[in-house]
Amino acid sequence: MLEVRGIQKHFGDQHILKGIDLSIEKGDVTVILGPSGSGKTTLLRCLNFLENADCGEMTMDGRKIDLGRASAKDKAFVKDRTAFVFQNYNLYNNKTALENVTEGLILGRHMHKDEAIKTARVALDKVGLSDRENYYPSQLSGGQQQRVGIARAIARNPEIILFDEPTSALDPELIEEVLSVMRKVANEGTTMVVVTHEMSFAENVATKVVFMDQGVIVEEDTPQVIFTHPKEERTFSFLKNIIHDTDYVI
Amino acid sequence: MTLNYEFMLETFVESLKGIPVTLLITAISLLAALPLGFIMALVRDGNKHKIAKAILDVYASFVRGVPMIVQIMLMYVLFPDILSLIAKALHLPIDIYGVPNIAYAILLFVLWTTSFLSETFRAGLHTVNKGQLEAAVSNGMTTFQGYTRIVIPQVLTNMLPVLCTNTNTLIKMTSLCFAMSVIEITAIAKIAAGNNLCYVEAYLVTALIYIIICFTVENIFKFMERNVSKKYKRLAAG
Ligand SMILES: Nc1ncnc2c1ncn2[C@@H]1O[C@H](COP(=O)(O)OP(=O)(O)O)[C@@H](O)[C@H]1O
Ligand SMILES: [Mg+2]
Repeated sequence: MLEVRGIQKHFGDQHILKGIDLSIEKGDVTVILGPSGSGKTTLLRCLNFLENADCGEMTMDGRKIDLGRASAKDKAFVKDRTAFVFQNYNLYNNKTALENVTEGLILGRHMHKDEAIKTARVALDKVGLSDRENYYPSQLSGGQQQRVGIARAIARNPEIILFDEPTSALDPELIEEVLSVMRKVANEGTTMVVVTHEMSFAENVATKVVFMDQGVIVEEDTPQVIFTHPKEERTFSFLKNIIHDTDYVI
Repeated sequence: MTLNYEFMLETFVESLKGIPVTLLITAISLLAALPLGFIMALVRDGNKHKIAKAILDVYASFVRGVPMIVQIMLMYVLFPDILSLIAKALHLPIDIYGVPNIAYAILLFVLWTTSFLSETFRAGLHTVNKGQLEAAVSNGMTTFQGYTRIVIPQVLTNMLPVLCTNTNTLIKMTSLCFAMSVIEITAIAKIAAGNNLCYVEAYLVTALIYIIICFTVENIFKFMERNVSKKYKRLAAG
């Protein structure tokens, strides 16, 4: 359903993405692993046009888009079918949890207000925050804020949700509540691309793991293969460093 | 030294008639400068419109660097001449010198307040993380909606105390309009002072009127601040 070929991105004279190919099928949970600075965030942002790639090609739902020359319509097409969950939540601080979800539905989707509220309540219920709908972000814990962020994404019923390190800004004791919501969303068959360092999520939920380093995809495979016998030395050493308290024997 | 209390009372009542002019200049300047100041702040902080940015930077330096009284004199003395030259060149049948002075005062103060508030809004824009705008756009809002619904309300809220000071500064600045023969509070008192040779009394009265106005403005802003913070805290308790 989403396929990208040869995405390249420079920041100034820094070559950040050096030709990324990625293919995502409906229902896939693709986890992207990789060291900090390898371009994971930039890749996700290019997929959602938060950043414009220099060149590359995207096919989404049969629509072919030249990323170097994407039109406003192309971008709107893709944005309408994707949702982004941010590392630092990026909730609207002047809006309640409920309004955080409804705002985009009313303004972007031109949904009637009552319908938007109904949709938002279903989404907030799914992330376990029905009782917090009138709270402002400043009155919510980090974990709760991120769950509102996820509710905001799923309420739009997108074809793909892009998660950029959704738990890495959280205190350790708050990580699990967010991961469990993500597992639930995945189990409902939502197509997800998740950048994370949570190996348990990668191992147990991902249908595919992609390892990125220095702007290229080094290796991609099922979690079983990646975690037990990766083909590339770089993947191996990355995993060895990250899984020090290991249940995994690589 | 004894004060002429009778004169003070008379002048006080007389000067009150200048309040509408003072408030008119202030209100129009603020209303125009709210959107214009935001646009100016965004252009100056952005990287897109390089030429506009360069021009606005120069303009901001001018407004900041040139004393208000000099700006007023330029507007009052030079600007009508320029306009009438232009009108003549274009053969427009407009009598530039028939334009009331207050129109020039309003124009100057709109321009001045735009630049003045753009500094406040620039600082304010830094209090709202850019991610919220990105989230808005990725949730289907236009950039314009992202600004008007998400970013700007927060900038205004965060900057209320500064905007209060800005408003009072603006009100006090309008007192210089007497130099353009605009009959506002200060001008009325000044004329009365000259006619009766009661300068001390006249300026005491003027000071009192500005204190009352600025005190009122401060309380209006405090009221707004309380309301805003109540809104955000209302549910924290229960
Ligand atoms: N807006 C930007 N301007 C300049 N450099 C950037 C920008 N965003 C990211 N980078 C650089 O791109 C590289 C990759 O960043 P990023 O995609 O965030 O990596 P990751 O998410 O894998 O940690 C980093 O070196 C970072 O400094
Ligand atoms: Mg990142």
